[in-house]
Amino acid sequence: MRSVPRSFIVGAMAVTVVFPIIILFGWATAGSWRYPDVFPSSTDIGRLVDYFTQPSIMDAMVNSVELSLLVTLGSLVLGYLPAKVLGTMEFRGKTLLRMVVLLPALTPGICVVFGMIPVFIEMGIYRSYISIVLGQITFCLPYMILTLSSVFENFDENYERQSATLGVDKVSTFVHVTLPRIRSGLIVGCMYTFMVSWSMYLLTYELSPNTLETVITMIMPMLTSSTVTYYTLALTAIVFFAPSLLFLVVSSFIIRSDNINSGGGT
Amino acid sequence: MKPEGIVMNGRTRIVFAFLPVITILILFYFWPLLETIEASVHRGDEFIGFERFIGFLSDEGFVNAFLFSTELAILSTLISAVSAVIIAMALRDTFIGKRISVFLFQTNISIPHIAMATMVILMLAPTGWFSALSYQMGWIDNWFEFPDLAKGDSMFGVVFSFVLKFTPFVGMAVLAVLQSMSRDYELQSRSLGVGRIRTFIHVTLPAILPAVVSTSMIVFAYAFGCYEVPNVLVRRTTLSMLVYNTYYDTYNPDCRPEAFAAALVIAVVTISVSAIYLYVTRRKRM
Repeated sequence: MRSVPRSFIVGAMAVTVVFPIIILFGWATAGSWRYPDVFPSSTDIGRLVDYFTQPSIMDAMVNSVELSLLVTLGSLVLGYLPAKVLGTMEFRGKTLLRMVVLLPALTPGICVVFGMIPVFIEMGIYRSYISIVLGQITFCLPYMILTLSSVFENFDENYERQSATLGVDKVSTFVHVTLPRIRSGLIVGCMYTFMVSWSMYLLTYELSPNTLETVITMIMPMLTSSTVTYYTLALTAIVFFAPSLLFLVVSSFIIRSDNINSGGGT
Repeated sequence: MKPEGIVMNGRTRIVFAFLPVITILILFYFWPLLETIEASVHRGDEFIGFERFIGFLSDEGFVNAFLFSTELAILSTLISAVSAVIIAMALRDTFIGKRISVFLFQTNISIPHIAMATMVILMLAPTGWFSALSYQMGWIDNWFEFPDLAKGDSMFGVVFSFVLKFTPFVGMAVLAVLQSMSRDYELQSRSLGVGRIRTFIHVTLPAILPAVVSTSMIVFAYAFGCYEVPNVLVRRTTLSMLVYNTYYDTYNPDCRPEAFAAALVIAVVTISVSAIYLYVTRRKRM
């Protein structure tokens, strides 16, 4: 592509990505920004710090992090072996099995969430911490399995076999042979699953205990309300997407450092 | 040929690996889905078959919601796919600033949909940034003259929010294909005097089409079944919003089974589209 159209397209893309983020941070750090000013008349970084340190926000953040970490860990424990089998083995029915495992990710939450309620009521765990963890794991598992299975597609099991032949036990083989080879995929898979769990609204709202306030259940009523100020909206959105920024930076760093270590250059 | 013992070991390994996951899926995915199906085809204890689904065809609220969801999903998917291809084509060659450009391009993938919807409100609401700019430029005299793009009847805000999220999702898949494919055919086509556009249509497009189609299917399914973003950014009712509102409609004695039936329609559409996606990606692998 000639450089002038390319510069235009890339420039337009960069503006479209960066501009909304600037507006968001503009509102979050504005001391005063009245309509119809195009720029805030004063800035107040303290507002951002004060908001982040409010007890209700801190509680919601802690609840969200705890829940998403638990769901990620559960998805990893349950999804590791299926992902390895799908990535390294060829067998009859593999496509069908992959499709069955994928189904929850392909079905919008609203199609299943109301059907889950009678199931959890029958089990006696409706609106308990267990119900929300199990519900979220069901929808997060496909993401973990998909990410890990694609990592295992490039994994040579012969290294593990050699290690076993040399008398190394399974735990040491996993730590010293398997883990270094799947490290970046494992971290990206965990972060991806964490993000899916972090932004899951309907399921969290319908299945979690009434006393459990998470960031997503806090932000949704604000977005549909007409009385919330743009300052609060922007601040809450930043609280909500702070882990995503971390995800983007960390995953880019991991992939880059792994490429450098493996001699890749892109 | 593998020894018998290893084959048996392989089978045991598959069963052992998948047993917990399948148990979770049976309990918390298939059982709820069965509950949904069962409630949809019964009125009390009476089996009514497809009566509710047939009733939907003459239900104006349902038809409008279905058409609106379809329109929303098609528009978001088409705009995202076209933008993605254009940007991926611009990013494929090596140039100064490519790394930062690609980083910026994929940034929106990691921003949650709800955070993106918040940014759309801050920009497009009647008292948002573009309204303020329009006032300063003298295009409007008051904030209420600015069209309600973020929370009104227009689907602009939802489509814009989806496009910002979906374009890099489709685009990164297309970029991966473009960077791994050989340029020989395109160069041959150009050296034979074929124009840029025809070379793109006949040489480049067939190579990137499977990536575009497969990612577009996922995008369509998501946009069609999404509840949160339309709930925040549009006043009109999508199918998912209809399911939610019907489920909690205390004035309707048949509300829950009706909501279940409408939810099944979403499931059928999204799973069908996803099945096409799987078929396309499988053919691509073959």
